[in-house]
Amino acid sequence: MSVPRGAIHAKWIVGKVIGTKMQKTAKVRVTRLVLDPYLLKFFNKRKTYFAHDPLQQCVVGDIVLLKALPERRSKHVKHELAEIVFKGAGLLCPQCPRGQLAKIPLCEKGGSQERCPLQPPGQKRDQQPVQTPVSQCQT
Amino acid sequence: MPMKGRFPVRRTLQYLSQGDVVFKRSVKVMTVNYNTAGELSEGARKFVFFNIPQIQYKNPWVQIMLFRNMTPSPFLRFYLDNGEQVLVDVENKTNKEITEHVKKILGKSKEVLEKEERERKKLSHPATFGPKKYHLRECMCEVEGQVPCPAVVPLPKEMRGKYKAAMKNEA
Repeated sequence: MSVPRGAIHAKWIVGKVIGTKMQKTAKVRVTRLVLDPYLLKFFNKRKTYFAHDPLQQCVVGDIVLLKALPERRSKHVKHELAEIVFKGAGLLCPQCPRGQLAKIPLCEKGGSQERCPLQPPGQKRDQQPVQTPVSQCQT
Repeated sequence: MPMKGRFPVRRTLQYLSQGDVVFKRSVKVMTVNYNTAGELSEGARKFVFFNIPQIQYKNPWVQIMLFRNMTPSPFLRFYLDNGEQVLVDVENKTNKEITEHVKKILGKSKEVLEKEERERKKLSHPATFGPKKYHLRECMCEVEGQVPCPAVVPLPKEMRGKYKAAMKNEA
């Protein structure tokens, strides 16, 4: 017997994938900044959402954008995967000590402190990666 | 005890309410990508340190996520209700410039904010009494010049119902 539930409040959310052991479903942790009433400081409050991922393209550590479904798919799944924002955000370096992220190589030009972006394998440096259309604002 | 840490003024309600960036209804998520080292991200770091609390205080329903050391250049990304994404490059900008730019492209204008304030004032009548959530004052005793609350200052004998009833009975 289905109980009528209220409308889904979070229409668009960004989170980190923490589990993919379910079939076609990704477990996503979403953090929001919540103000502590006494300290008056913002802390991350985490909530777990389940998102429908039909192609099972998510890996643990991906940063993903979720979209609310018009109707909930099952008891807990109310969102679907809209876009993977950052793939492999939690890459661990196999050679570095446990817990260290893979080091991005330093930029060769100008000796600046900024680092070069990681290039996906098989892609040349000048090639633009495929991205969803994004409007860019500059002053 | 309360004023601890770097720039504890950030942790005051007065500072938080001074923020003037109120996002439009369509803005749902804001992500900030910045680096913890490098002069190019200095403005972004200051923006995160000083301005993000103000923005989040004024926009409690916008999800704000911070990503550190994931990309070589700092940027802001906004996700709108219609699926559109807005990318704002903040490399080599100061935190004030970033705030002004964000306010210009995605913030409500001063006229809109004033209009909303007037609408809110219309709903509440200042001359009525009731719970603090909906009215200015709860009881007439709070108004200066009126009879003070008997819980604080006892009423004079002549104003008490007990005395008035006794006088009536005598008569």
